[in-house]
Amino acid sequence: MIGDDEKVHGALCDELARLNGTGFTVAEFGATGATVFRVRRDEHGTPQPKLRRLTAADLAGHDAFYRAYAPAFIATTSAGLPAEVSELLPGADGVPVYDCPTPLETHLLAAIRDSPLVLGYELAVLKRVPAGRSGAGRIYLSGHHLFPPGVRRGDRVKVMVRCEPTDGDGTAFAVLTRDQRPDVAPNSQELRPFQIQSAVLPAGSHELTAVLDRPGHVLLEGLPAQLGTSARSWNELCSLVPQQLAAQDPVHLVCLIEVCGGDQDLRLRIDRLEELISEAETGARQLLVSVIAYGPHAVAWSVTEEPIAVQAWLASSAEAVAGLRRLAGRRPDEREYRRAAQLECALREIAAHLTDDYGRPVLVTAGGRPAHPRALDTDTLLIPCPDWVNWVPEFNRLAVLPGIAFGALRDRRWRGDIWQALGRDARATVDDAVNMTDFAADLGLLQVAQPVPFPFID
Amino acid sequence: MTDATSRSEPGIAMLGATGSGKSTFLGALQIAFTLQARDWRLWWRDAASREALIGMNTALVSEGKFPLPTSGIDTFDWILRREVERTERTGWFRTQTFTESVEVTLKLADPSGEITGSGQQGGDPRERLVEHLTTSQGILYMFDPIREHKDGDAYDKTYSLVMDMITEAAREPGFDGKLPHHVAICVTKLDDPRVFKTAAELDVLDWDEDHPLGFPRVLDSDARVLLDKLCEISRNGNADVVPKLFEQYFHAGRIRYYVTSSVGFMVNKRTRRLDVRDTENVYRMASGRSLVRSPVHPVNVVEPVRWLVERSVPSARVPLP
Repeated sequence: MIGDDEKVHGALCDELARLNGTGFTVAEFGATGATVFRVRRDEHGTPQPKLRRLTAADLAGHDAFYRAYAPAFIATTSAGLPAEVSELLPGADGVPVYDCPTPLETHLLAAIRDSPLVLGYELAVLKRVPAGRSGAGRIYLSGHHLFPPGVRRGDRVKVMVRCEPTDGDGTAFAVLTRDQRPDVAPNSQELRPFQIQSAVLPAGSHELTAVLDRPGHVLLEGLPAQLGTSARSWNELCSLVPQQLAAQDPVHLVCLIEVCGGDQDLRLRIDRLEELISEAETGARQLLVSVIAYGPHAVAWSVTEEPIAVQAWLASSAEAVAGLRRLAGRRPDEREYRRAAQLECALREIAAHLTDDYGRPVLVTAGGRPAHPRALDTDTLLIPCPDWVNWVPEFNRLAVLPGIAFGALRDRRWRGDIWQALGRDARATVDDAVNMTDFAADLGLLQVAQPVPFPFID
Repeated sequence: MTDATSRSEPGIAMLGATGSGKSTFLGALQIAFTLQARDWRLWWRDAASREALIGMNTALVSEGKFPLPTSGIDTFDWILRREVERTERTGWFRTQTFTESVEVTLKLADPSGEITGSGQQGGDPRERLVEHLTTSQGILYMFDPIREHKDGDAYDKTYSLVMDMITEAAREPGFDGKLPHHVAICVTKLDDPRVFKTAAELDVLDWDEDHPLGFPRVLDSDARVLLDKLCEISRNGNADVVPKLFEQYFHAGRIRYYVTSSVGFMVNKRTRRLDVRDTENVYRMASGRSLVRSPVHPVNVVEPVRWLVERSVPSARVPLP
């Protein structure tokens, strides 16, 4: 009897290195009986052991055992073998027998874990047909090389991918091999995934690190969300690959907030707009946010005019929220005009600067006072705008911007026709419970996105 | 050049409902003389009158606030003085120029609106008011068309007072049923958009191209037309009885109508002129107090006072520049 754990490991590594289509078998004789492990490579080249405990019939004859299983070697894990198992031990010129206290399965898994890849591993990615070729610009599914054959566990590689906005099932990260039939061009070889995970990730570029954990398992690290099991099968994912990306224009959310009145009313408006920004942020599209604050016009020479204040412009959600919060705590002047606010001038300011260059505009106004009229109005007796601005043409200038949507988060006692116009597509009362998901959906901020199941690689 | 001074104490009483602008009118009076008739000077002889004049003036000009409504009767002894150059023939070939100082004591009574009402008959302040009205030579009557539009109680406030005056006057021998006073009926708040719009629709706004602020005015000859129109739209429709009441119990030739604005029109801060799209110069704040929006430039405040003074003191009757 020869052997020890190290020799068993070495023998298994030798067998794995030689492993081809027919596979190999090793046997373990122990106190409770005999077990054989049949090892074959799967379609990805990963050694897969199959265990079989031998029954009394299998142990019926020495020759029959060797004809049936032809083990490359036998590991004995106990000195006291049952008689029917001892009878199966080979003669001096037979297969090697190792005295190995560690279970053979443990040795086998360790050897497989340390074995090199025999097929290259790739990440399923989307690419576009390059310009100048037939179907230029069309999207197709392909593989991006991660690990070539011969690589062992612990190897790592960084990959920059770009995630497009997609639906709620997120982006799938599939590791695969190719069916390397020599009669098929590489680009046409079948992609065979062995690991599919997914996560809802922010749209944009992400650098991931692929770490070879063992043959048949790759760790994908560095993404902003934890990957989990994909809810979709490979076939489903493949069927969702679009030929082209639908227009997923980014959105420019403009929050127009009235600062008039007491701080309690103002905080309500701030809170509601914060909720909306948060809702829009999960809308799986690129989002830019602007915040503009407006108050009343100065009603008298002795009152200082409070100009329209741009708290944030084309900013991130976080910057916009910070801009909103800075408005809290405003102390109104006793001489402040109480019956209107310079909404007409705020609209003029926005109309002068807002374009669809940075995304589909969505204008949401939080407040409740009417605009100052353009001129004397003996019905309402509202003091006119000192610049004689008329809100109607300013609103109309905005309304012709492609795709623009208008939402109003109105105070309970809102007044003026302007609020009907500003709430054209969505409206809610700030001091009621607002279903912000519905509100955002009405403005197209939560538009169901086109599924783009895999990341792009540029 | 010689100097002579004539003095008279005509006594001018003010009438009008609560909030009709009596105190504001008085507060604007000195500003109006300063801006429009600098040859007239207004001052006082007693501390109470001084306090009242300075208080009202400061509130309007410096603080942009309105004088608080009067409670009871405030009586101010204010003195109006002007110097007039006169040239008189003193012989066949000789003339002499001398300056005549005309000094008029204004005994202005500003009663609270409450004590003018019919429900106040017999009270002590009420009796003092009737006595003051009866002994005054002129009456400034403030007709607030906006108040009339809302409350419509001008007739109620005026009728019983006039009847009380008749009762007093009837004790004098030879009373012919008409009170002897001169009455300046001032239609107030021309800057209010509703009054202004009505005037514009009646085409009674007289535009002086040389006015530095571009203010229009309503000529005295058109004032009654505007008053009639404003009375038509008053709440209870009785407002037109008020001028008729005056015309019935006062001599028609001693009644004159004025359209006034104590604080004047809103002056646009950028153009420094009136813009007809925003005329009102008053804003009522959350506290209920009113704020003057732009500098005070009274409209037709000097004119009714000057007319009453000139009627009482003929020597003061010199055309204003």
